[in-house]
Amino acid sequence: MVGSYISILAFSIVVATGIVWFRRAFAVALPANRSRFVASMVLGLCLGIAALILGAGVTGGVLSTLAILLAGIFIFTFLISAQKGGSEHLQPGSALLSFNSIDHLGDIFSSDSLDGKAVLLKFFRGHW
Amino acid sequence: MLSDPNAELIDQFGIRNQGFHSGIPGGAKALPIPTTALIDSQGVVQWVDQSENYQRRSDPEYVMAAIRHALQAR
Repeated sequence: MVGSYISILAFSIVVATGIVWFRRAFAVALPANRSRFVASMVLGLCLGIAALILGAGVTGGVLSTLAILLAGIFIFTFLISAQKGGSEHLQPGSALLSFNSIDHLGDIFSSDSLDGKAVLLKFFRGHW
Repeated sequence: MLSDPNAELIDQFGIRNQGFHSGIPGGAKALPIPTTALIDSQGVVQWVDQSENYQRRSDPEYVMAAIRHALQAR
């Protein structure tokens, strides 16, 4: 019985943390210090494991397993999120490289079309 | 909105993520470091923002502050 309650708590913590995380991510408002999110997920993961050890029944077992999986995925993405790199071609004072690309209409875009215009250039890999 | 399906542009600019590739298996072969750069009308880079991790993006207020600063400096 205790295990069931713990499994519900674990799942709730993980899901609530995930909801807050994604809402802030889509608002481009993730904090630089993500330790509270990580701590919350670690807590959810540990509670999930504890629930399984104590015996959480079928439903509790499913909730615990989901909590462990979701928290584990989040923690994994956090651990690999550090980036390496940097560019000598995009440093203050450097000239913008000339480039060609394909626009959203499938037409060729040339950076020459930006001559004489101030530009905000943004490289991204997803919605955020 | 431009696309870079073969990662040629990100390699040209040298902003390929050299860390652990966190893309979906079978998806993009390389991912850029999320980067925001302000270029002036002479084609000179005035300001660059790159996050230390891919989960963070340039805050809109931060970008607007950089734009206002660049405009005031001219």
